[in-house]
Amino acid sequence: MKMPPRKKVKRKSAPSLQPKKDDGSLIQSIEMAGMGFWQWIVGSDVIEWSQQVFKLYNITPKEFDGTYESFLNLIHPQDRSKVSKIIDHAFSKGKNYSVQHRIKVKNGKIRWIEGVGHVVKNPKGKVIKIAGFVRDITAEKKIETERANWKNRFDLIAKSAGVVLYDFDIRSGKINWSGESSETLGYTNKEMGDVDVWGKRIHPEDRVQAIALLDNAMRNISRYDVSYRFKHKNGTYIHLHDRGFFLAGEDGKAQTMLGMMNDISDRLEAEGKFQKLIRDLSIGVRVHNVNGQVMVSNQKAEELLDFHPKGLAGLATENRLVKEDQSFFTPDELPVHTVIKTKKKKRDVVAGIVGKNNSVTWAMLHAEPLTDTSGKLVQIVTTLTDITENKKVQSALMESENRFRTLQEASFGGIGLHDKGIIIDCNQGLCELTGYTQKELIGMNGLNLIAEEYRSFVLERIVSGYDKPYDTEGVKKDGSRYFLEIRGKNIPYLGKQIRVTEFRDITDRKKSEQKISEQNAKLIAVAEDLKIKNEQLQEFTQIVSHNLRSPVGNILTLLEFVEQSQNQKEKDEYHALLKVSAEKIQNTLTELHEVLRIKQNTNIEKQHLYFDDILDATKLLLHTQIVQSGTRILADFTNCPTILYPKVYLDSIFLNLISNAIKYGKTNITPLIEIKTEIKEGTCYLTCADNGLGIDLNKHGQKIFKLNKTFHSHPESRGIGLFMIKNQIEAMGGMIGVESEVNNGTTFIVNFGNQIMQ
Amino acid sequence: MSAPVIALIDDDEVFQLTSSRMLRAINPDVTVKQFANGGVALSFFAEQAENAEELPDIILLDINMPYVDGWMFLQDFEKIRESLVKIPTIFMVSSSIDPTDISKAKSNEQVLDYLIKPISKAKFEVLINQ
Repeated sequence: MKMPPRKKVKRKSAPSLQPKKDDGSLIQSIEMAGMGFWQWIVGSDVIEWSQQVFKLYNITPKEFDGTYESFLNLIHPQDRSKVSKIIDHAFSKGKNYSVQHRIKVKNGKIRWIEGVGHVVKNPKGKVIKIAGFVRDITAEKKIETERANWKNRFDLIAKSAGVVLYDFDIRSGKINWSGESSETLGYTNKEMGDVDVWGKRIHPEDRVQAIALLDNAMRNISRYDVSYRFKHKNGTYIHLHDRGFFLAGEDGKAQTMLGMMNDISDRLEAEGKFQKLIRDLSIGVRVHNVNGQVMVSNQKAEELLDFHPKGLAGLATENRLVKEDQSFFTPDELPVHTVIKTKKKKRDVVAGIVGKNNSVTWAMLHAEPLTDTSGKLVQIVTTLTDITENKKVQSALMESENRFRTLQEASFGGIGLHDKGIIIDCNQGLCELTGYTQKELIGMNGLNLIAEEYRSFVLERIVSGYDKPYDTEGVKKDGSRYFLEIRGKNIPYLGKQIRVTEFRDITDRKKSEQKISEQNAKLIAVAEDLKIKNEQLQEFTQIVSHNLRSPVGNILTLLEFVEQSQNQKEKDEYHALLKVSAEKIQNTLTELHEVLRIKQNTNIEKQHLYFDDILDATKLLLHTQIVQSGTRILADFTNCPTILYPKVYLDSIFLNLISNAIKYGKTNITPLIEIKTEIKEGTCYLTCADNGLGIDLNKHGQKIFKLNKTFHSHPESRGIGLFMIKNQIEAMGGMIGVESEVNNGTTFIVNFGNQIMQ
Repeated sequence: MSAPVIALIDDDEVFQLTSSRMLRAINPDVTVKQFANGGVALSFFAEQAENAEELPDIILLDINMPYVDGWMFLQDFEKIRESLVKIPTIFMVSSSIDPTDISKAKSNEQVLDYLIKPISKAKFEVLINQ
């Protein structure tokens, strides 16, 4: 630090600058204005202060020794060099000065001081002293700082909002720019220049209109809001939104223009895209003001309403809107007015737009309210969708529906349309069938018309879309049941899949079916009977074929032989053979007669018979054979000693079984016949077992009970055989079976049926 | 043509007698072998399987016989047929005019024809000369 040469004096305290009598009034008045007076005589090392200076510095004379160092120490360190420079300058150059600086007073507070120094020179121009005033400017400084702070904040806000602020002094043409000018416009605040520079940067196409608008606002000292293209420093144009207001000066004319501008290029671009989107939409869109007037509309809306866009806005197009019944809409009925009134959206209003040539375009109208944040209605958006095609389809559908209805009303059956089981429509036939009214049926679950135990069965068919007729049981309103034939089919109807179901009362059919099946059963029984009869006839045919035709054929041949023979001996031989053949025929005829009698005479008289008695009689009849063969007969009838049976039949059964057993006995073994009766399950059984030759049932099983020569070679048995007893047993409701193995005897089992004696 | 051997398988004695006399009347050189039922015939053929002179050229087979009837004979004959040095021609002969019998006989591959009794001398002549 360069300091002027000064003599340093050490003093306890600074000399108090007392007002002199000659200039006392001046200093006094200065002091009274709160200013302190000081002087520093060159050559002395002491700065003299008036009382007021001590007050301003808030120190006592004892605390200040008046030296320059002490003075500098009192100054705020950040301002110290500034003050020292100025004072040095004043000494060396002899120039007056004025300086503002801070001091730190005892209580730690900062105080702003303004010091003014006046240099006093001798006639030779040499500085002899500096004198001056100091005053407290803290209050003024505070205001200034605050203002600067506000300005900073304002700039910050402007920057963060991306806006450029300006303050245009109309008279000077100067503009004070602040905020985001370089970010937004590319220029620094300085480069933004004055009003002429600004004007030149406006796009030539927008310039005249923008300036005219602003001029107008200026004349009216009013607000303005204008958009124009502005040339960015990089040479491109950006869209600026510029708004603000004019302030009048004292003369009542515009003096200041305060405003802000921001770049709305992006927003415009987005809006442009959005507008294009709206314009190109296949639905008509219109924006109305709160009075219902159309503010904006897109192309489709214009097309639909058949208006030129320029003629559209504000026109009461609604005058040409008709309802589905061809009557005109009253203003209150229009959705836009409904929304204005209720502030709630109104949807699905069908309106016909009558065109120039009275053609009607049908549209679906929706109206939506647009409100601001406070809920106040701002705009109404209405949309129009062309539904003319749908309408055509719908009316075609209605027509076919009417036809269908006529058809189904004419149908004898019941027809129900149902959607997931719920009946949505039905004909009178269904009402008549079920006993419900149409009102009751519609909305009812169709399954309730089905008897409970068949519901899952029917539901299965509904779910699977089964489309063939099937039978089930229906239940009427009164709970009565009836036989029902159902046929359902899934069909598309008004945009969804529904099921059309036809109900047909088939009670009559079922009854006749029942009758038929009863008759069928009868027929089957008859057929069965016929079959048995047929089998019997076949049996007779066989008998006739084999047992009658054969001897007859022989007789014919033998007669021929007799005629041709000349030899009496030969003739006698043939006569004998003729007799044999004739007897055969006789026997067969007797058998046939017997069988027919058995078959026809099922009511033959039954007697109370004891098996022992019957066996005894049989033994007597076969006495010779039994004795000759040495046959032993073991009988046990204790389990079932008696039976109610035709005696002739039982005799026949015993005779045949026992004689067969003897006849087919083994030659080397004494025939043994075991015969017994027993009761099984309430039925009497007879078994007759021998130890004879046995029969190969695989070979002979089928013919064992048939009329066969094998079984009637014994003249004593009258040729009846097993064939006959089988017929007898069966005629009485019983059965006969045989068990046998070759060389292992034969067992006949007779089931007498329910012929037991009580 | 040498005299044929003819087998009559039938339980009807009168038929056996009349038929064999008619056959001999037509051709005195024929050999007629008589069998009372199918079982007897089968065991004879089995014994004489390699003896061509004893085996028949023609078999006249009755249906209705005790023990082994005509149908059973056909079943069993098929089993021994291959072992025979001479395969005979089989005619089924029955008094039955039952269509089931006739069709059953005609459908059997071993049976050449079905003849209904009584059989005339003329028919036997045709048969032998075949």
